[in-house]
Amino acid sequence: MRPGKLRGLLRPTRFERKILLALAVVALGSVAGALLLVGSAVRDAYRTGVNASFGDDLAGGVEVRREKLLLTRTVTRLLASRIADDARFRDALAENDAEAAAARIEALGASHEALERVRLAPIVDVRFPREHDEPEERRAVVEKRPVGDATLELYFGIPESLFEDYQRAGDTAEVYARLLERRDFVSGTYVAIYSALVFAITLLAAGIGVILSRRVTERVRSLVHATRRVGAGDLTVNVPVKSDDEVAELIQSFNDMVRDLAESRARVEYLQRIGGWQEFARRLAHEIKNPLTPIQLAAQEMRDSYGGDDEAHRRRLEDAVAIIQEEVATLRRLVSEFTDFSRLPKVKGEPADLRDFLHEIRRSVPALLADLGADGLVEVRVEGPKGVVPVEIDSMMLKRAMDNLIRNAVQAVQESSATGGHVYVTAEVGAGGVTLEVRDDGPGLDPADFERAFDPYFTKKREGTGLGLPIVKKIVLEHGGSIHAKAAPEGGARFVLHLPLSRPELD
Amino acid sequence: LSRGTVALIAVLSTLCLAAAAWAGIAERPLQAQFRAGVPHVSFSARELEDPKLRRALESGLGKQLVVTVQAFPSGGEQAIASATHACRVTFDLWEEDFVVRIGNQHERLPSLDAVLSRCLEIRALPVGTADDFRPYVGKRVFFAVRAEFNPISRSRCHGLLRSPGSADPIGPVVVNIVRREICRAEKATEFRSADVEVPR
Repeated sequence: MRPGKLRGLLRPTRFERKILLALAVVALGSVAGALLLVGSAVRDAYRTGVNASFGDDLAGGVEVRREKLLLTRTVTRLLASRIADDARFRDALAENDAEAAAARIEALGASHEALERVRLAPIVDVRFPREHDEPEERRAVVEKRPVGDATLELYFGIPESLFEDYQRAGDTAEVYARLLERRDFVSGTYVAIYSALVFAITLLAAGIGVILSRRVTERVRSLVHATRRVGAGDLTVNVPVKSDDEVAELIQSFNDMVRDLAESRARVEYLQRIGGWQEFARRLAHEIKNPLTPIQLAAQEMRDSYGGDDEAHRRRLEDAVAIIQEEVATLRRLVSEFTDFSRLPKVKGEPADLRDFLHEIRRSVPALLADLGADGLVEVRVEGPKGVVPVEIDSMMLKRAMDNLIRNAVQAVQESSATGGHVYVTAEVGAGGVTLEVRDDGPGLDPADFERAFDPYFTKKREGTGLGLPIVKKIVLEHGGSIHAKAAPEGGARFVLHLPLSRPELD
Repeated sequence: LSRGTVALIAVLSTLCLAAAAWAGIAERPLQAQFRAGVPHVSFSARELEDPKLRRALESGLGKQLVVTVQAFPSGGEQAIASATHACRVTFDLWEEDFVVRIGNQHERLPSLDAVLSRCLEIRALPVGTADDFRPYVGKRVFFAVRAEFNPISRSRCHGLLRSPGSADPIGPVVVNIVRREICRAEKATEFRSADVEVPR
């Protein structure tokens, strides 16, 4: 993790602090309740399992095993005394009858499983071979009894399990007693460890909460930052949309709003610029138009008033006047176009049917082709929706714009190909409005001119004034739409117009 | 927490607590004689004896008396060396005498007093080796003694207090802590010697 990120994680924002506080209140509240319940439950459960009653029983068990061991010892010692004090055994010994003494010992010891050997050196040595079902370890115990001057030795094999059981029971009882004595410690340890783990899990959850909340707050912060940039006039802001939640929707709405704002501002700026150029064109037309008639009349007067005989001079005069009249005519045409441009009326939207509008365009095409001398050379196809499409347009102005575009396209095809070509006019209706398109299979536009083409007085045509496309754009913008120049798939130019629909449900 | 982590924390805690603890415990005379560079300590820990201890030792159940001696540099916390004198005492219900096992040696003692003397009155117990004390020659050290009655051995403790199944995340941790508490000595006494100089 980068240090900056770590610092950011350790220094939450105000929004994150609120989220953390909410998490902490919810988590700690529930954890505290759970710990109280768990603590009580663990203590109760432990006291149920470890209590004095069981401890007493265990201690009793230890005592029983001790008594059993002592009883075994007593029985063994009694047997040893019984054999040593047996009268018949003693008689046999007195008679020095070793065989009878041994027989008596065998008879006395046969029923005692623990007795393994009886020895009275040197005359008696009786062994008791035992066959146990399950051989077990035995502890050798020797009981000695005086018999006359000698010592009778009795060897016993006491099962080791008697001692082991006693020890094991004693150990268990002791540990149990300690558990009983320290039961608060044991149950407290359970609760403490549980609390520590729950606390660790709560911390982990809080950490995850911070990380998750950061995903939201980071986007909110980006939005705040972007809002400040927009406030400072930067409308190029675009906040990345990274997910599909409500915050993403908010960001998307913000981006849409900024884009609309940018388009709106561009529209206003363009219209203001066009307005300036219109004023300029009006003054220019006025200034040029006034001296044209005196110039033309003066030239004619100069030609007509010549009374000399010099034919060469007369011809030069005639040529000069012809040139002056031709240029004056060109200037008159320019003045006419400037005047038209400067007097371009404002768009007034009225309810109309797009289908009728397209029909009007389709109807005007033959005259336009004839006017341009492209009849039979360029084919203009107009296609649009079959049904009624209500729109709010200024039909006259929009038709003028479409005529301009179609005229440009036809001229481009004419200039580029002697064999002719095609111009396509299409209209489509979508959720966002109507898209009108005029494209051709002529030479097309240089991509660098896609934007400049709409600047006033920018033209690449030999006799163009550079006012056609600005007029088109002004009309489109005043409709609340937009226009873009692109490359057509057929290789020529493509002009795409987006216009909003008038129907309220589609606004 | 894994068992290893718990054990490490326990060992570190014990070391720190031990080091801190020795500073505050009672000081008493303790004879320490250096022979061939090895200290041999003699002292008595008979104050561990009480009626309860006597009854327990006479019960016939095996019990433990463990005396641990550690040498520390004066003012230091890191033990130089240690020695343990551990007696397992069982009263033989059959022979009615005491069997005392020290290491691998068994001996039978006739009375409880003899047992206590044998197990709690330490005579010339060697602590560490000459190599352990060589760096401290000419310096002062002290000996700390801990005498315990009936600590349950680690293996017996594990046998009696088994961990629950591995599916339980808390149980093994708790059992480890509980074992340390439950299996420690029933009674213990601690004291330390005065500082002595390690002879050259």
